Amino acid sequence: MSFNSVAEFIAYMLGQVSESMRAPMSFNSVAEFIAMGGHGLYVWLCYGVTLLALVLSFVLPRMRQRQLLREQAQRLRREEAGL
Amino acid sequence: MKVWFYRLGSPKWFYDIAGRCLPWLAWSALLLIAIGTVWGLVFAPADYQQGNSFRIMYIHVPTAFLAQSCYLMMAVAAVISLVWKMKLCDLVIVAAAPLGAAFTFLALFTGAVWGKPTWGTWWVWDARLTAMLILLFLYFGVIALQHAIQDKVASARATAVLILVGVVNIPIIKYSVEWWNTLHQPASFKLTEKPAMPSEMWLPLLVMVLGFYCFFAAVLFMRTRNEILDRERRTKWVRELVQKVSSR
Repeated sequence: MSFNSVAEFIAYMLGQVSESMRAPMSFNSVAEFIAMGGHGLYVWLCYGVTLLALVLSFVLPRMRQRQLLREQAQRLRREEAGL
Repeated sequence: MKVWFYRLGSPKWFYDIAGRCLPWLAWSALLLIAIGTVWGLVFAPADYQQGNSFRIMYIHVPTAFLAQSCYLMMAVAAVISLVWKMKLCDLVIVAAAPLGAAFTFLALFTGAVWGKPTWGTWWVWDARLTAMLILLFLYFGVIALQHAIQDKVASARATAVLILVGVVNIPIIKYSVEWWNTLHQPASFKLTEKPAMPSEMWLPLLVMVLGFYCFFAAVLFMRTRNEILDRERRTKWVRELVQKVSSR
């Protein structure tokens, strides 16, 4: 099936969203959630490694920016003292 | 139009605009990824064949999209850099390459971990997987080349050429599942067709993809701003900026 117009596409999307809002949780307990039906190790390994990578790739540039600004401020002060 | 193009090439202009967009991008990324993760992990129904291991899709697909989008963006920047010698593009490439490598690694890693329970093996030398591994090595090559050449102009030029040669790999990745027999399933989504899975499954994926794109843009802006700060440190506007920040 394909869409004939943008309006049709948007209407379809909104319908899908409202339908899936009514979906129940797929797990009955926390233990079941962690076990992931026997695939817990694989699922949590993937989510763990990805989370770690995302956090690192966000935090490292922030630290680098602080470091750059600090270094350049020091250099400016040295140059002024030298003049 | 021409004025706009020159302004876009100005590092100071980009630094300001990117700084203003950053909080919006970062917060939308956090919000979308948080919603998508909870939705995908808790509410999406388990796959009738794969059980719960299919939930890895919610990070595998966005990272694989970004691994390729990042390379295509670098290729566009490489063309602009070669044709118009726009310095900003070289800085964007320097900022983007490690990020692209990280996303390619994540796509390969989550794919391997997903393959173990689904195909019974971590790795097969099939077309899609091998092409993605080549993409990872292309990113490594770009990063290595940037560090190998001291002269900034020569380094940018060599890098741009390497990126453009490697761009043939992108259609190979895309069509590998159609050209060769492979374990990897073909694309589940096409822009013009309704997807082949229920909406409870693909809506969280859409949210995750959007969230990852916002995240990529935010981190790319941060990294490019750092490159600008470093490369333009002798200019008047960076000196003034540093003074303003350090006096605070």
